[in-house]
Amino acid sequence: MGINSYHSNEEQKFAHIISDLKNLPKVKAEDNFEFNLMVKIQNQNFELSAPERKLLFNRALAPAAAVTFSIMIFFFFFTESNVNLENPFLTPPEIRANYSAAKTDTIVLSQPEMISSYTEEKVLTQADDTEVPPSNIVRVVVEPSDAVTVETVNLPFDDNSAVDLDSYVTGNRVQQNRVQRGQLVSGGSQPSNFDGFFIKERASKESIELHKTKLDSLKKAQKTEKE
Amino acid sequence: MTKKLTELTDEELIKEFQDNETLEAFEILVKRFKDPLTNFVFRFVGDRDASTDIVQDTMIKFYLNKDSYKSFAKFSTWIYTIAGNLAKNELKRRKRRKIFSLDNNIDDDESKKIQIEDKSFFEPDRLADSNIKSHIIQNALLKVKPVYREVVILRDIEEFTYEEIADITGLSIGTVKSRINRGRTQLQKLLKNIYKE
Repeated sequence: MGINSYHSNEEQKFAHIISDLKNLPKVKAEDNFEFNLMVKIQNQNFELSAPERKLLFNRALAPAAAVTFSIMIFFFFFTESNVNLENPFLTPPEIRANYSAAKTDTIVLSQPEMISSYTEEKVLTQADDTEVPPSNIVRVVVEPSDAVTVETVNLPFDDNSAVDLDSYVTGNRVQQNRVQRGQLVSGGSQPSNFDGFFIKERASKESIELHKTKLDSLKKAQKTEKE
Repeated sequence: MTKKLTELTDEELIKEFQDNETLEAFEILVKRFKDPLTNFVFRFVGDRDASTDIVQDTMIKFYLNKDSYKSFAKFSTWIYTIAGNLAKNELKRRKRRKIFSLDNNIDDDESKKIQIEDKSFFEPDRLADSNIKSHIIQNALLKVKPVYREVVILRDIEEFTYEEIADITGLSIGTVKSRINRGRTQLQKLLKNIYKE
């Protein structure tokens, strides 16, 4: 080895350590070191001693791994973003009349005369308190074969808690007893059972006329059937 | 011929091995360097079996890559560079193994620390025993950061010059000096209880 010089002040500071390190016993190679080495060389057994080397990542595979990883990232992140996930909180509520308008032409109309007739009837007969006014909503279904059917629509709301806002606003609402009467605002500690809105479509004059003719044809058809 | 080869310097021997593929020249070099290399690697890694394997691998690398040695460098610095790199790889592998090991005993290092620093652990008369002292110094040496440990071993145990250490490690002489200084300071802190007395 080279010539050592321990003259600097820094090395004097560590004199104890340096002398101790110098005096450490020299570890020697095993007696059969050369024999084992020459055997390895003779047998061309040049596999370096690292048993877990096989388990280590092969650097030659790095580009392939990088490409695979990139594809995976592209697949999971970019393709996912193309799927339109509707936020249920941002979607406008669907008009309930549309539920029944799947295959046939359907229009939902209100029949104010039914309400007025019911009110008169109610005053005269003093009907039972639990009686519920019939729904004033009818569904006119025009089949593809021009057959027209009219049926009463049962609203998916609880009648006891339902409120006809139009009647409320115009002051024409049907007076019901306290149990049946729906509340616009729940008071006190009672939780509000709000089911949703049912939007009545205001039909245009043309569509009313159109459906009126259809209804007339329906009535005629019914009459002829009875006869 | 054999007598003549043994009289050759390291550089002459490797040239003989490079030029004429004289296996005897290789064997002489192995004989010359097996012990100092084993000592260096053992002090660096702290494991007898591992150091033997590393020195064997160093010699095999030397045998296979003899032509990569250039005559302007000292043979000793070249072979120490190979051994040092293999020893560092071994330390890295052990570190990885320690990280991924499920039964990694954290308390192990703490107990070693106590053995070194607690002077009450050894009786004063027993401290005089050179075997125990050298064991303590070796344990302390293994606690020094590997980057400092390597240069301290090369300087204070293998007795290389700063220039040779710079050649072996590929560092500048200034870096070598500062690393040696830091390594010795760390060692002194670890062995403070021994040097108080």
